[in-house]
Amino acid sequence: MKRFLHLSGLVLLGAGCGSVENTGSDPAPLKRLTAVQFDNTIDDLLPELERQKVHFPHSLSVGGFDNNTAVNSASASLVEVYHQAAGTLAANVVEQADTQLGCDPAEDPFEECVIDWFKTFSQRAWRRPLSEAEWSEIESSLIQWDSEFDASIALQLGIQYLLQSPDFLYLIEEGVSDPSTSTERSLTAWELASRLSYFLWASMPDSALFAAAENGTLLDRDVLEQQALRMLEHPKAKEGLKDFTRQWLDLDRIGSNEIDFETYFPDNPDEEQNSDYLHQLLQPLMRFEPEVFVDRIVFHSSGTLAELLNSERTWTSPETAHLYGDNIEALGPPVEWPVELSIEGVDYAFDVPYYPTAWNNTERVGLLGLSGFLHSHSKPVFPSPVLRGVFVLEKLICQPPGAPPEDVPAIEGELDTGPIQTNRDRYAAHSANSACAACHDRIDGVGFPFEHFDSLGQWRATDNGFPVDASGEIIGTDVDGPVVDAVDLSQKLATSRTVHDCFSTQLFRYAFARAEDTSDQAARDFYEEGFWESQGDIPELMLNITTSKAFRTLRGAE
Amino acid sequence: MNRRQFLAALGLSSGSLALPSRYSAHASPTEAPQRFLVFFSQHGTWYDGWKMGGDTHPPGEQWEIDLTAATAPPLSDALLPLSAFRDRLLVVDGLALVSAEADISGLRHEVGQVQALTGAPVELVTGVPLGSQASIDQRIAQHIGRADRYRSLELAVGTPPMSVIYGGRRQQLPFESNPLRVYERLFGLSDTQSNDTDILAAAQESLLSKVGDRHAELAKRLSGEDRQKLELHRDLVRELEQRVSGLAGLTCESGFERPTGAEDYQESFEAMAHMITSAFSCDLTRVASLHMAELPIDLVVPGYAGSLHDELAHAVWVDPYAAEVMTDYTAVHAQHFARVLELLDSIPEGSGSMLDNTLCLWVSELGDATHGFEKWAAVLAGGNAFQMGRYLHFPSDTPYEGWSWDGTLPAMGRPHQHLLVSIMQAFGMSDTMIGTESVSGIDGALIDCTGPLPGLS
Repeated sequence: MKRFLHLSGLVLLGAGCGSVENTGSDPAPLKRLTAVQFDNTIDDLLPELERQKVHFPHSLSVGGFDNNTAVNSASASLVEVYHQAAGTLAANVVEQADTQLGCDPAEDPFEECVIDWFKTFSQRAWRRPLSEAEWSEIESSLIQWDSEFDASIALQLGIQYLLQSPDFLYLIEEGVSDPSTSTERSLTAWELASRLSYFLWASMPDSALFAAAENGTLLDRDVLEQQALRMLEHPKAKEGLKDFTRQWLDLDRIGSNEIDFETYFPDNPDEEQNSDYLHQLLQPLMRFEPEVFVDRIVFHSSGTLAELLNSERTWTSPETAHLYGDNIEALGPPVEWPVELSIEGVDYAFDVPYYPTAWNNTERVGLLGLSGFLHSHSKPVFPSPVLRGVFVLEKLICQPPGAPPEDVPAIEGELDTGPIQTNRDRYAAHSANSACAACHDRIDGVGFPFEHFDSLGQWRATDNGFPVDASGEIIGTDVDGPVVDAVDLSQKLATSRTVHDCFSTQLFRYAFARAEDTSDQAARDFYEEGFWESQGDIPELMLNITTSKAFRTLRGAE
Repeated sequence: MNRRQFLAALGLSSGSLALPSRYSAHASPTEAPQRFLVFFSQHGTWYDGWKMGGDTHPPGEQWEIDLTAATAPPLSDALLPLSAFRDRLLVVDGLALVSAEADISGLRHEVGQVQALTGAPVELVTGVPLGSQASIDQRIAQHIGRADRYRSLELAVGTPPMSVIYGGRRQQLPFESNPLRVYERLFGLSDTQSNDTDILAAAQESLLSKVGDRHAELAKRLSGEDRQKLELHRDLVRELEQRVSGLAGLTCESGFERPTGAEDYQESFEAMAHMITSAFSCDLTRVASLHMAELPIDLVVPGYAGSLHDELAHAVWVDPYAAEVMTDYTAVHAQHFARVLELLDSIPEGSGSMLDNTLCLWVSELGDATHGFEKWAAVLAGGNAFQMGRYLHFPSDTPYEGWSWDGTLPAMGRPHQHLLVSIMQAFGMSDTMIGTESVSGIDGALIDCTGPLPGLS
C-alpha cells in the first residue's frame, strides 16, 4: 500500500516533465478475448455462477503472447466453442436464476424480473451503454421469445445472444476524432476502461471503473492514473500479472518434459507411480511456483525486475522444496495459491500452500533458479544448455537467435572434439564449428551457466562424476563479459539496461496485444527510460503504460 | 450408452431424438459421399528405407512397380506394415518440395509445415511463419463438404509444433489433440435433463442468424483487416447455423468408448482413428486431417534414453543407426496408416467398403529428417479416382539446385503441387494449380508447378 502512494508521487513527477504527451498512438488492430480473458470475464460478469470451465481450441501466439492481434482470426471450432459455452452458461444462469437474477422468471413479472436484469446485464456484457436501437432490438427479441416460448427460454436465448455477439467477444475500439490532429483518435472512456482492465486484470472493468467511464472522468489523465493505482492494489491485479507471467515465462511448457524415470527416480521401478508423481504432483507444483514468485515480488516486495532476477528467497511447496535441497526451511506462513488443473479430463480447482523459503544463494537466485524453468528447458535425461540459453536470449535479452545458417543435424552424431565426460562436452562441437559458433557462442554463453542443474532443476556439484563447469559469457548487452555460474549470470542480468529494456518491450507486447513496430519507438523510449529511472519498478512501468498517450490514443486514417 | 447426438454436445438436448444409426445405411457406390483424409507425420522419412525398386530400376527414369502382381517384391521396410493393403496403395516416389526450397521465409522445418499442404509461400507475421493460402484439404472441403455438416475436422495425436491446415491466408486452423474434446464435439452426451431442450434446440438457428447479423452490422463500421476478421467470424456463424439444423436430426454412434482425455500417444491415435471413421460413416464430415506429432521415442526404440529429434532424426546422414531408427519410425506410422485403412475398410458401403470412397493421403513436412526437401514421400490409399496397387517412380529432373545434408543436389524431384492438383481434380475440381504457379530454377529455367502429375489414373 505504502509503496503505491510513494510510487504515485514518482509518476506525477514524471508527468510534470512533459515527456508523456509525445509518445505516438496505437494502430490498435481488433482484439479478441483470449481464453483466459473470456474465462475471467465470465467470472466477473456472472459472479457466484456455478459452472464448468470453458475449454478453447489451441490458440496461436506471437512471441509467447496469445492476445496478439496478428493471429487472432476465428475458426469454425472456436465459433462452435463460443456457441456451446454461451448455451451452457445461459443454462447455468437459468438454473440459478434465484441467485443470479434475484427472482423467478417462471413466476415473477417478465418486465421486472428478466427485462430489467437484462438492461444492466447487456451493458456489462458489452462493456458500454447500448444505443437505443441496440437495446430495442434485444428487448423486442426477449419479449417475442417470452410470448413464443416462455420467460426462462427468453432469458436463455438472450444470454446466448449477448455472449456470442462481437461486442462481447471483441474489444472494439473506434475512438473519437481528435480535432487537434487528423491522424489520431482518442479512445472513448468506455474503450479506455476496457483496455485498462484487460491489461491490468485480464478481465472486464468493475463497477468503479465503469462509473469513471460513464461520467467521462476517466479521460482525465489524473483520474486514469488513480484508477490504475486502485486496480493495481486490487486482488484482481494478480490475475493480470498471472496472465502476463504465464506467457512471458512460457509456463505452460512446464509439463511437456517426459523425464526419464530410470535416471531420476531410480529407486522406484513402478512407471505408473512415477508418471503420476511427475505429471499430477511435481509438474503442476512447479508450474504455479513462478506465478507465486512473480506475484509476491511484484506486488508484495520491492516490485523490481532486479529482485525477480536476484531474489535469494522463493515460495515453494513442500514437494518442490525437495528439489532445492534437503535443508530448506519455511520462513513463515504459506501463501495459499489458487490453482486450476485438468487431470484425466476432470477439472480441479484448489489452493496450494507455497511457503516462503531462503535458497542457498551460492547455488541459485531469482526466477532463473526456479525448478520449473530448469526442468522445462531440459531433455528427459540431460539438461539442455541450448533451450535454457535461448530462453534467456528471447525472454530476458530480447535477442532471439536467428535461423541456423543452414539447418544442421544434431552435433552428437559427428562429435569428434574429444571424449564426452559431461553434458557440456556434448555441446563442444558448437564452438568447434565456425558456422554454429556464430549463434551458439551467444546461446551457450548464457546456457552453460545452468549446468549445475539437472533435468529436474536439482543442483549438482558433479556431472557424470566430473566437476561441473558452469562458466559462460554474456554477449550483446551492456553487461557483456564472462560469468562463473547461474548466480553470477542472474546478478549481472539484474543490473543490465538491456534486460530492463527487454522487460519493458515484453510488457508493451502484452499491453498492446501486438508486436512493436518502428512507429512505436517514441512510446517505447518513454517506457524504457521511466523503467530504468525507477530502478526497474514493474508496477510503475504498468502505470506509465496505462497513462501514456499511446495507451489512450488510436491511430486514425492516414 | 453409445448413442450420442450433436445437440447434446451443445448442452441443449436430453438425447431423446435418437434415430437409427447410419452405420447400416447402404448407398450405392455412385451415391456414397466422396471423402478425403490427410494423414500427416513429422520428419519426412529415410529414403533408402522407404523406397522400392532397388538396383533393378534406374533412378533416372520413370517407371512403376505393379504391387498386385504375383511376382511383386515385398514393400520396403518402412512401408511393410501396409502390406495387407498393397492393392489399395499408390506410392508416389520422386516428388520434392521445390517451392519450399525456393522459399526463404523462416526455418526449413517451418517452411515445410506451411508448404506441404498449401503449396504456397510462407507469410511471416511478426516473425511467425504462416500459410498464405488455403491448404488442399480445406479447398476440397469447400468443394465436397456439406454446409450443414462439419466442413472438415482438424485432429492431432500428441502435440505437433504447429498446425499445417489453413483456411486461407494467415488462417491457421487449430487442431484438437484431446480425444475427449473431439468425442464431446461429435458424439457428446449432455447431462442436461431439461424439458426445454427441444424448444431451445429448435431456436438455435434463428438465434445464430441474429448473431451473424450482429457481426455483419459491426463489420460494416470497421475497415481493413479488422473488418475482414468480423466478416470471417460472420461467415463461420452462418455455417454453424446451417450445421446446427443439419445435424439436429442426425444420430451417430462413435463406435468407441468415451475417451478419458488422458490417453497416451497410441491410445489417442486409436480413439482418433475410430472417431474419424465414425464421422465419415455418419456423413458428419467428408474431410479430415490427422496430424501425428513426433513419435515418442519409446514407440520406436523401447528404452532409448536420448532425444529422438536431436540425436536420431537429425543424424540420418551420418549415423547408420539413426537411419535405421528413422526407417522404423516411418514403419510405426505405416502401422498407424494401415490401421486407419483397416477401420475405413471395415465399414460396408455399396458393394465394397468406405475405403473405396475415401482417398487417403500420407505425407510429411519434409523429405528427410535433416530438413531436406528432396524425396518427399507420398502415399495414397483408397478412393476410386486413381489406379491403385502401384509404386510410381519419377526421376529427379527438375532443374532446381536443392540443399541436402549430403551435399548440393544438381536437380530435384517433381514439384509436389502436381500431386495436390491431381488430388483436387480427382474430386471434380477444375483447379489446375495450388499455391505456386512456377519457380525460377537453374539459369532462370521456369519450373512449372501447375497441372496434375501424369500417370496416376
